[in-house]
Amino acid sequence: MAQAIDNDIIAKVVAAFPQGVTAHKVFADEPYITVDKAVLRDVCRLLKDDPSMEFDYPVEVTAVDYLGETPRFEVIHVLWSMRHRRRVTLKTRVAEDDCEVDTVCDMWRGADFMEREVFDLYGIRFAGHPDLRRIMMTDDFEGYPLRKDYPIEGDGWRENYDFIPMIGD
Amino acid sequence: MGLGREFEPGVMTTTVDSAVNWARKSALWPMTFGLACCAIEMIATVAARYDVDRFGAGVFRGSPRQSDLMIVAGTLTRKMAPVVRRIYDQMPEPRYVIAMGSCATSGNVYNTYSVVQGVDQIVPVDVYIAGCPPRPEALIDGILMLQKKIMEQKVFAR
Repeated sequence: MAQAIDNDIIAKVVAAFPQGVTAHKVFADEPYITVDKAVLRDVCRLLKDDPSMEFDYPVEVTAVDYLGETPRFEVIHVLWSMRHRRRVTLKTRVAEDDCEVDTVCDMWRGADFMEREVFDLYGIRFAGHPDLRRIMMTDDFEGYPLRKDYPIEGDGWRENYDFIPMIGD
Repeated sequence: MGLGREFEPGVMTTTVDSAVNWARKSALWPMTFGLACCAIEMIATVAARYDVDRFGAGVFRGSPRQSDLMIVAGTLTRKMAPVVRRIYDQMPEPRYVIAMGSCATSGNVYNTYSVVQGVDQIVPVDVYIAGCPPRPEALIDGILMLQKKIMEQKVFAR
C-alpha cells in the first residue's frame, strides 16, 4: 500500500519532469527524489499544489558536504503532507563554484530560517530569499563551520576574547 | 569561626574579618543564570528536596546588580561569552563565580569551533564542580567549599 503511494509520487514527478529527475528510490517506505537544480522550484510547486500530494509542511531544509565529489554539496528538502500523511525527500546537488540554489521561502514560509541556517553553516546561497543573513553565528563571523574542510577547533574565533576589559581601560 | 562565649552572657568576641566574612558567606545571593542542562540540576538544588536555602544561598536574583554569586551552569559558547563577561562586570564586589559542570570547567567533549574551553578563560573562577551534570549534592558541596574560602579571606588586610 505504502509502496504503491510512494511509487505514485515518484511517477508523477518523473512524468512532469523527465529531464529534471536524475535519480529516485524508495527507502523505508519513503520516496527520495534527486532533481536538477534548475527545476527544484517547479518540482516543489508541483508537490505542493497537486491535490493528490499536497505537501504543505517543510519538515527541514538541510545540506550535506560531500568533500571531494563534484558537485560538492547536496541541499535536501524534506516535505510532509498533513492531509495524506506522507513524507518526501528532495535532493539537489550544488556545485562549489556556483554555490546557489533557488529559495522555496515563498512557498513555505517555514523554510526561511532553515535556509538561513544552511547559508550560515555551509555557505550555500538561496536565490530570492528575502532576508539571507547569518542566523547561528555572529554577523562578523568568517567561514562556514559545517563544511568538511573547516577546522574542528575553528580559526581562532573561539579563543578571541576582545570583549574582556583590560587593566587601565 | 572565632565567635567565642568567654565572657558573660550577651557578650562575644570576634575579629572584624570573621564577622564580615560570616555575614558574606551566610547570604550568598546567586544569579538566576543557566546556560544548558546543568541549570536543571541547579533548579533541583533550589527546590524543596535539596533546599539550598539551608546554606543561605537560595535567594536567586534576576539581576546581576543584586547578586554575589554567579553559577555558570552549562556550556558556554563563544557567542554567549561577551554576555557572561558583561553580566560578571555588572555584579557588585565582592563577587564569586562557580563553574558548574564539565562544560563550564573545561568545555567537556565540545572541543569545537564555537565552545569556550572553560569559563575561566573569560572570568575568574572560585570553585569548579565536576560532573555532567553534577548532582545537587555536588553543587551544595561547591557552595560549602566557596563559603569555606570566603571565611579565609582577609577583608581589611592590605
